[in-house]
Amino acid sequence: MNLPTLSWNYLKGKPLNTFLNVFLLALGIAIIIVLLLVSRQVEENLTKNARGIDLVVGAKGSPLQLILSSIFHIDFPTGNVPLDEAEKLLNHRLVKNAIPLALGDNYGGFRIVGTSDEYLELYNAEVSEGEIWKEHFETTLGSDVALKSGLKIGDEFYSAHGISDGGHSHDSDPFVVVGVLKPTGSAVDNLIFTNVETVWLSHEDAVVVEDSIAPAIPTVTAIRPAFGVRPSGTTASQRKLKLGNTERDPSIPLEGKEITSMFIQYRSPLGAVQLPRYVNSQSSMQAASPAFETARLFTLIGVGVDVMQGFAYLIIFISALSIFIALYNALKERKYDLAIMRSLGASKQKLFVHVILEGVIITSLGAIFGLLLGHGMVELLGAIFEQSGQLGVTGKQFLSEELIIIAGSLIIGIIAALIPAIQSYRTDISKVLAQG
Amino acid sequence: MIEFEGVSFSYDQNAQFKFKDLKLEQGSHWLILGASGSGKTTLLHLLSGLLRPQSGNIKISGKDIAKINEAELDKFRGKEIGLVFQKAHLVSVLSVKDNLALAQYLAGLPQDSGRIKEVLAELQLESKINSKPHQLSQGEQQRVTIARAVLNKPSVIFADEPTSALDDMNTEKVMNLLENQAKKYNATLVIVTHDQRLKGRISNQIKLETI
Repeated sequence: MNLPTLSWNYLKGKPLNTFLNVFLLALGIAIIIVLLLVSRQVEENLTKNARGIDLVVGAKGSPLQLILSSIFHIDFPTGNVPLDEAEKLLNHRLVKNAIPLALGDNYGGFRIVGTSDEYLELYNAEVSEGEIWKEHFETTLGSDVALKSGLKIGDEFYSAHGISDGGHSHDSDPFVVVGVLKPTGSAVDNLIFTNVETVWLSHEDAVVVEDSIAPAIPTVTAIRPAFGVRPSGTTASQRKLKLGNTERDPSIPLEGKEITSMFIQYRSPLGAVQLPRYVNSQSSMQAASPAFETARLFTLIGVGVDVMQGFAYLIIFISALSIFIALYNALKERKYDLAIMRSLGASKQKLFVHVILEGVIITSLGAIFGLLLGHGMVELLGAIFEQSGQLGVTGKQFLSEELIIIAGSLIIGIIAALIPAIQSYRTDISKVLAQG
Repeated sequence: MIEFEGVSFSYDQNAQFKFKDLKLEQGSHWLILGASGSGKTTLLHLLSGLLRPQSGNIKISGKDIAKINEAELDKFRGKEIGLVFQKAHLVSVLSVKDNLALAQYLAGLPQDSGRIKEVLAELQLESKINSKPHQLSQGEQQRVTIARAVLNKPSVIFADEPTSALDDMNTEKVMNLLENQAKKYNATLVIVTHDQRLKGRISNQIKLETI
């Protein structure tokens, strides 16, 4: 027998009360853990994915949408931009490098991205098996794609139109898998890579149908009546976008061709001042800064997070109140127990600690179950929703803030038990025992 | 040995008590009798250190419990004084065994389940060792409190109306136990009561006058 066992026995004596108090606190803590983990992981993941990309240039529309679709691949693209106009930007003196992206197809929900190996360099993605794409219709798979789709090197597959699952299947040329990438923990893991020309080729015959069926879904189209066929107007000194990992195929005419967006790296910090304004005012394209847009996204989400957090703190406050009321009410029926304990040799301090311990045991249990519940919920969230999985949400990560939550819940236990503990400390044993 | 010298106590202006000096030999058995309001319980609480006197000395086994500090008094009470009350007052959430273990723990003594079993056997309660208090009859509950009072082999046993809630048969049983246990450990036994059934059993009697 010792004080913790004694306190625990009192809690066991009222299982429903104890369960309610533990459950309330666990719920509050779980909500905080979920918010903490998800917002932290999403933020980290977004930052990680956007590293090395100073500016994204694409079709006019919502800049946030441009960022989400091009970098994180979780929203639809804003549209397409003419290749020659995008390429002109490459010759701006403040542009160090530009990487093109052509979207429009998927296989089993995994987006097919037309680009060059420079895209992989951004994420330090390496080939684990086979090799990177070179010829038309050759593809290299992100690690998750290989894992979930079951595609292996040498396999052929047909893409479906659109960037999410369930689109119209192309039945022209099959794609062939030539390599698989190592896991990077970024958006790369969920992408299928090929060159830009392949995206053009796979759409050439389907253009008219696509535009009439799904005008909302931007495609890499070969026909743009608004602009018509543009003069190439290139000079020998002009830099070219790298459309794939081999020399450009001269048999494919570039007139009127489009890409979805383009990642830009600045040559100097001055780029951040001049380039976005230049692009937005001087071209039909828009420029969006990943850093700025993700910050904006978090301010938007932040309101919701704050509301949820306030709600969680309210639940925790109610649980503290409930623990206090339970202990306070129990005092009446326990005053004889407390007086008897004093008569058996317990000091006032011991009774004080005994009651405090009861509060602390409840809140410790609440904290433990809250942590388990929170991490379990986040893990479930990552497993159930494809998009949260794509954002790298996992319940297996533990943050140092959780120690603060545990310490905080112990303090709550002490505070909730403080007044009842002081009352027990002050028990007038002679009076209580004389009453019967 | 209990010595009681010039002890006075007051709850307020209207209830002041001045007690006669007493000297109770170690191992002797006493009844304290008196009508309600004559200060029986007050005297018992003073003797067991639950109340502190305004003046005077209360020596138990040579220690003046009116002079020691509260923490020391709690410890002394746990080790040297066994208390039995009118109602059983066992800790309801603990089993019989744990109620006794609690008495050892709170007195600061090592927890000895052998000793617990021994005492329960003496009081014919072995079969109830894992029962909760509410599963026991009133007589059984009172026997458990006697087990608890003698568990730490105290030098004095104080009982406040231990039989007033019991029928004749249980009164007989409880009194036999109290007297036998006190005898066994050579403890001074002091019983406060207005129960007429006990008058014939113990010849040492102190009568308190109503003020």
